[in-house]
Amino acid sequence: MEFGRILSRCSLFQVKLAVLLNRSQAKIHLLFAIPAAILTLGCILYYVRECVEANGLVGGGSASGLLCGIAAGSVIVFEMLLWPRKAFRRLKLIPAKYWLAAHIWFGIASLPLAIVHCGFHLGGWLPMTFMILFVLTILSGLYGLAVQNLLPKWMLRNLPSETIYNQIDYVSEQTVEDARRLLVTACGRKLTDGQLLDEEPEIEAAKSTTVVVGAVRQAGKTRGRTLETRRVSQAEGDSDALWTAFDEITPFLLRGRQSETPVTNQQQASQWFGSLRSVCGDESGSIIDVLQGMCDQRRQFDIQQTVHRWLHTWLPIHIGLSVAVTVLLAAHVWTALKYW
Amino acid sequence: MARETGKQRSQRIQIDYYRKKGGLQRLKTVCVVAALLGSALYAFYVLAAGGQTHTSTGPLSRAHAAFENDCQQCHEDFTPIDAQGAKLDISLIGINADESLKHIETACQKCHEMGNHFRGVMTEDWQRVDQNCAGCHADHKGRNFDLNLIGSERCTSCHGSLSEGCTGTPRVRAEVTSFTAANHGDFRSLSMGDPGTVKFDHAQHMLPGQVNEGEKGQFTLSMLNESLRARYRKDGQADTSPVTLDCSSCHEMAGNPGTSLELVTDVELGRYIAPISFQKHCSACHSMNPGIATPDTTPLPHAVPWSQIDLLLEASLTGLNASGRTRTPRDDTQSTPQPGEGLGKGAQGTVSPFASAGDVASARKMVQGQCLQCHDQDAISDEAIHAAISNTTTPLIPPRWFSKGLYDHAIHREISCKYCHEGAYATEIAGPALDQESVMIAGVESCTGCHRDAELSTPASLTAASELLGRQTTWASDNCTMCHRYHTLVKAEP
Repeated sequence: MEFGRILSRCSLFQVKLAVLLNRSQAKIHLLFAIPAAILTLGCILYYVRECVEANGLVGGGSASGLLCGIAAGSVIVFEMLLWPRKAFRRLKLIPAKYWLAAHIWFGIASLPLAIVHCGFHLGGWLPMTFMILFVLTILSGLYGLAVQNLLPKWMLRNLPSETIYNQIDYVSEQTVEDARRLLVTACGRKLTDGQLLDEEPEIEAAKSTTVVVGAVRQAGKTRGRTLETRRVSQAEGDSDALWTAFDEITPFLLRGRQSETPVTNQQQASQWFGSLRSVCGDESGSIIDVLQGMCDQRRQFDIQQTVHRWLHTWLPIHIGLSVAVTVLLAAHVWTALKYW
Repeated sequence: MARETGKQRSQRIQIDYYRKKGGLQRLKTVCVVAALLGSALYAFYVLAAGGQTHTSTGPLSRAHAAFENDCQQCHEDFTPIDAQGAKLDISLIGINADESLKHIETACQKCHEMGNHFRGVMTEDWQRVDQNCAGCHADHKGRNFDLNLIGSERCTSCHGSLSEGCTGTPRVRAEVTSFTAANHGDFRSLSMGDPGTVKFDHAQHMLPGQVNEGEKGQFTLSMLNESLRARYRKDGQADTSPVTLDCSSCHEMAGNPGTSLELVTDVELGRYIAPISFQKHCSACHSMNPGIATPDTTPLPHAVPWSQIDLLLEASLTGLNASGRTRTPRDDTQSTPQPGEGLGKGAQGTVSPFASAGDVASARKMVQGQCLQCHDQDAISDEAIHAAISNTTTPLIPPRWFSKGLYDHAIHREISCKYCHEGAYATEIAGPALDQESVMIAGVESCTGCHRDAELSTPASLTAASELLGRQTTWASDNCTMCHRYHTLVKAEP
């Protein structure tokens, strides 16, 4: 239950289905890709015909160039409608997957239309700025489309411990708490100066013989880190070594690779846990396995953070560029008609 | 044992996690606000704060660079001036093709006063093409863009089939598709013949002393006025040497100040050959005067009304009589009497010094005889002379043979004159002067050898004529605008 719930909140499952370019979504994509291709080809053919008649490249002021410009401009306006659609999503106008598919294919079609519209000529500052921003918008969108299709699959395969992005710190704190409880249960409390002997959680933990830890499970082709309750073996003999190890890995569990610990680097971590096993008894092996698993989980969180940026940072840039393009479109339409 | 409950497990994820704004959300806000502000400020600058030049689709050509910041010099709000846009009728937004085309013409003609291209014999569609200046001279293509560099395809789009848009009958050729003898046709002058009326024999004038080799009667430098001998003297020639002329003796490049080619512009000015001038090119040998037997007699002016000639003859004769310098019957210094003199008619002290009407008429007849050496009777009538003076008649020697094309003699100066004017290089006097009856230019094949498609190899005819071609390159553009101009003069509008 927890497994499904966690996964359903992960970014992997938040990816809009319509963004995926696979067979299951083919019909939705073809529904918009074909009209977009027909529109583009039709406009380009008209443009080519006019160029042949004019014995040279014609610009946006020509009938075909103007048509391409109007088509590209209309697409830009349509693309921006995705924003109000999201704002009014409660109205459930048209399913988001259709909006997204249309957004993708007409957006892609608008680039050749815009290039043809400007007659393969960048022009002055305003049209040039407009065109550059427009190309960047399309490129950022294409990048987003690519990463949304590739990275989630990669994450699914390689980051079974993935969690909700903004819960990484919270989950990390939970992990440290789990580790501490594990050690309390297995080794007893670590008495340090100023620590009270009658803290309730410590007492409760000491009484318990089980702890909750994360473990990787597989359901079909999908792997995920789930929570499981483990019975804890007693390891009072290795108490000092284990508590010392806990102290050393805690910064890493909390802050990940930003901290400098013996387990920050994966290779060094393997050696470090190896040496920990060598100084501890066999009964501590399962506890060390759990601690090592927690470090691996934190390491995956680090990777997830990086991948998450790759996966999502394009969107604010794409939106920002889109906003600028829309404003400049209005300015371009006005000035182009005025100084036609 | 205290196992963790489901509730405790659910608390491992904060229940309101989705409400928390992360860095991504903040970045989104920053991007949107920055983009909105940046683009809005830029748009404001362009539209309302003096940044209108940013709307330009490219720098203006050098010729129009002065208008770079003054769009209104050419543009009128919401009236297309774009070559293609001006053809559009979009009533929805108030775009009207007629108004647009009219605006283009008006805007261009503020500075460029040009006539149309025979618009009177065009269909309405072609008239619109002719009106659309931007169709050929589209600007905003960079500072170094040549607005006059018009591809041949623009010309052949109409001239390839004139019948499609020409309401009249083409006067020269209905179809011109490229610059080859077959697709362009030969020069019009060759088929029309020489309209000139001045009798002239190039062969005679090119011979030393202007006589056939071995014949007597050579014209020598000593027979020329002393002040003119230097002009015709070749290196090493004495006064007794025969006058030896070459092309440049009479044919000079227009605008070229003599032979002092110190400046490049001097050469550039020599596109055309200056018209033949009697005073400059003929009078040294063919001087008209009433008494060349005396070194100080005044030559008669050329191409002036007969009344003036009569007056000058009368004055000259009277002067000769009064000064006693009229020829005596025994004076045989010349075999041919000069106008007004008459053999054996010596001045007598008892005779009035004033020339009689008969003397003047006789002298005029002799002058007319001189005129008729080169001119026909019609050309020396008072009407013809008045027309020539007032430039209301065609020149007696055509100043140009290409009635529709241009030719730059200065650019082709490396080529021998003979390459194009071989007819002027006869080696002996064959009979009466008849050069006025033939057009002495070569056919179009003399041009198409060099002015050919870049992909065609050098024709064998050029290799054979390499001596005449000199150092001239053997390939040049075959673009129509090399030789032809589109616009007519405003006065020449049909």
